[in-house]
Amino acid sequence: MHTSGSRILDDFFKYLALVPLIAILVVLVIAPVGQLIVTSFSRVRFVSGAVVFSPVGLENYRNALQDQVALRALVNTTALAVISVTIETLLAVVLAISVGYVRRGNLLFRTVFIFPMLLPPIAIGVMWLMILDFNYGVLNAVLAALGVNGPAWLAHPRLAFPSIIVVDIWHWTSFVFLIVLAGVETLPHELSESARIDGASERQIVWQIILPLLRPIILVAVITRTIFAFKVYEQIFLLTDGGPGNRTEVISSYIMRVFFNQNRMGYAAALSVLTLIFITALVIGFMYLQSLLTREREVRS
Amino acid sequence: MKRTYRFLMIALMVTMMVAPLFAGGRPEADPQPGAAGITRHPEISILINESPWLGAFRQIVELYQRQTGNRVEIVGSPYGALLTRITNSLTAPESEFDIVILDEVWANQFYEGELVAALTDIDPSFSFDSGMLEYNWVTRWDHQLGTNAESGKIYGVPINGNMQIMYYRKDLLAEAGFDPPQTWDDVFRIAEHFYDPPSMYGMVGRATGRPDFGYQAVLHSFDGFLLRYHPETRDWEVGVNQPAALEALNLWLRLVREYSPQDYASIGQAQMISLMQSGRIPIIYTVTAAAPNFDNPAASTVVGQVGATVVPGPAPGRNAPTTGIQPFSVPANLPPARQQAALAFLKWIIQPDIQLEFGRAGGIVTRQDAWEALAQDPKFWWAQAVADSTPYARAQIRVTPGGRIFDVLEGLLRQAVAGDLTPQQTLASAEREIRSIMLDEGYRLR
Repeated sequence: MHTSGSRILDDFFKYLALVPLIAILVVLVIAPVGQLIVTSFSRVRFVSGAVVFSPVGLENYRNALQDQVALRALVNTTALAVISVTIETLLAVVLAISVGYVRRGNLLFRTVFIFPMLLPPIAIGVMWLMILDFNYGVLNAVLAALGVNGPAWLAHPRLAFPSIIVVDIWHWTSFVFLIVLAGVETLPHELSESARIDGASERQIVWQIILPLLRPIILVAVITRTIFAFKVYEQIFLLTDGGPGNRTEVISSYIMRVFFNQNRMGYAAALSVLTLIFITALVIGFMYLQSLLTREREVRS
Repeated sequence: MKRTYRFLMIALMVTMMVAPLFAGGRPEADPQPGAAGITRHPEISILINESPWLGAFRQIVELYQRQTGNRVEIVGSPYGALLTRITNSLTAPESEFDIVILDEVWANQFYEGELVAALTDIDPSFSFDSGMLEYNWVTRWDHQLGTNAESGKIYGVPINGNMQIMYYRKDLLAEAGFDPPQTWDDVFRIAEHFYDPPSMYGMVGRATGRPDFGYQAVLHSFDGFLLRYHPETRDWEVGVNQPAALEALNLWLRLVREYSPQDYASIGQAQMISLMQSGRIPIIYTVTAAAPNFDNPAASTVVGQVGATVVPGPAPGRNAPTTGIQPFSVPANLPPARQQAALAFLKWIIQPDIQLEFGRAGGIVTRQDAWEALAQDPKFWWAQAVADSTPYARAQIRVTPGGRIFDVLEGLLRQAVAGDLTPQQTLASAEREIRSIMLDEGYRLR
């Protein structure tokens, strides 16, 4: 039996309990993003040891829209995200469904397939550098033993970007695999079993039962992975540093250069805000697609 | 249960509010007089790039600690991450480091913004003696002129007197009947003679990781320039799109591409040194700091076989090696006791006998007397080349947006190396960009 005073206190603590979370959110997310937005409309200078923000209106954004290197970096990043995530998703779905079928050694396959995800990106960059380096790389040594002169995988204008994509796929397929595998393992076996009893082939079971049921999970994996793909930096920095020319320049490495090497903090902030808007629009697009698919499924059923 | 939960929530909130009050920087300690008149200072930390001369610097720091009893922590950082760490440290409420190493190219933005302290503000009696090399006043900044000048305040101490020199394989060149190269034509003759890929290449250049550093040596040798200050009219001239610059760029692109491995577009300084160490090229021009690498038996197959000379030019005597000086500076955002401790170390390290020790340990010294003494010892076979290069040495551009200009130039040169831009397009773009940057930073242009 609660008194009215105790109820009021309970209600008060219900909201008070949210304070730490809100404080963390404000300190770690809202304030930095707010500062980023303010900086993007400013020119930042150091005067007499102090940081001085001078408002410049939309100048940084106007410059960003005319910056050919930024555009190239955004195109490269988008291309990397689209190609890598597509291939990773296809591979991961095939692997996850296959592992779901495996009765013995399931744990071994699972461990092997998620291993690349456990390595830090810097370690992966170094490892692939030792494989792909023109002079000292293992790949060209193997090719030389076979009598073939290997190309400059990371320095050739036509090969550097595909090489980066290969490394990205090797690194991140495991991430998509893990999410899809979790989905595969929660699928109701009864549906597949009854389909088998009704005479459905394994191909029909995969195409008409497993894949449609996995669709929402695959979409979550694609959204998460796409966001990660836009953050790629370490591998590029180690493997090509954006080169040759700016063939592998990505938006993260360009923002980094603008901020630190060029000391243009306001402009780097504007590029960051534009990237944030671009990724948010992409995610909203994916979510809209997901809701459309869900609605379509509901209508069908 | 509910009461315990409320108690925990209140405790958590109180902790969050109170914790910042107890956060603080390093405790400040006043200098203490020690034995034999040595002043005891609080421990200092030095941020420095992990370059080939770091081992020599560690040795000299150990000597400082033994001689003075003062403690020094060395914080190594890859060069690529250095500027990030310095910017973060100098713009924090209090610097994490007591001394930071800067680079000739981007030091000026910190001088101009007074994010590092003028050494004469810490100790008004501070000055350099005549034996100290100041490399076109690399640590003095004149706020009125917006460039390095003798009239400027002293914001640091040159610690790494890096300058380009030409390295060559003494054994290979002697066997083939070549003298050390004096001209660019000599370089191409040697490169062509030895070019036998994939086991041997003729020449490699620095195509990434500041390719402009390599290009400037060629540009200046053709009497070209990126920027020139005219004191009589107090304005600046951008010279990057002039005929000399185009001639220089065409030659530099040949140096980088023609007799190099297929991956020339991704070759930086580390790869150049590595190719020389593995005996796969007969000549390169790069920084003085690379020299000890060729004598390291653990990493080099060419120990005792490398010689050095002045970086060639279009004709003998038209040489223009570029300097790549790194100064040590003291952050402005430090309490006075820590600045005093840092300055004590800087004053100690530029003494003639200490510089000589630093040079013997493999450091790239910044005193003329130390270079002259080192040149007497055959162990330091590169010292004479440095001494011979000094009269020809050319500084990199010294304006506040130096880092920005070189970053843009690097991007364009890399595109030229990759064949994405023609030399003409590269220089026209560079001219446009540099003019825009200079005007944006408030410099007067002619």
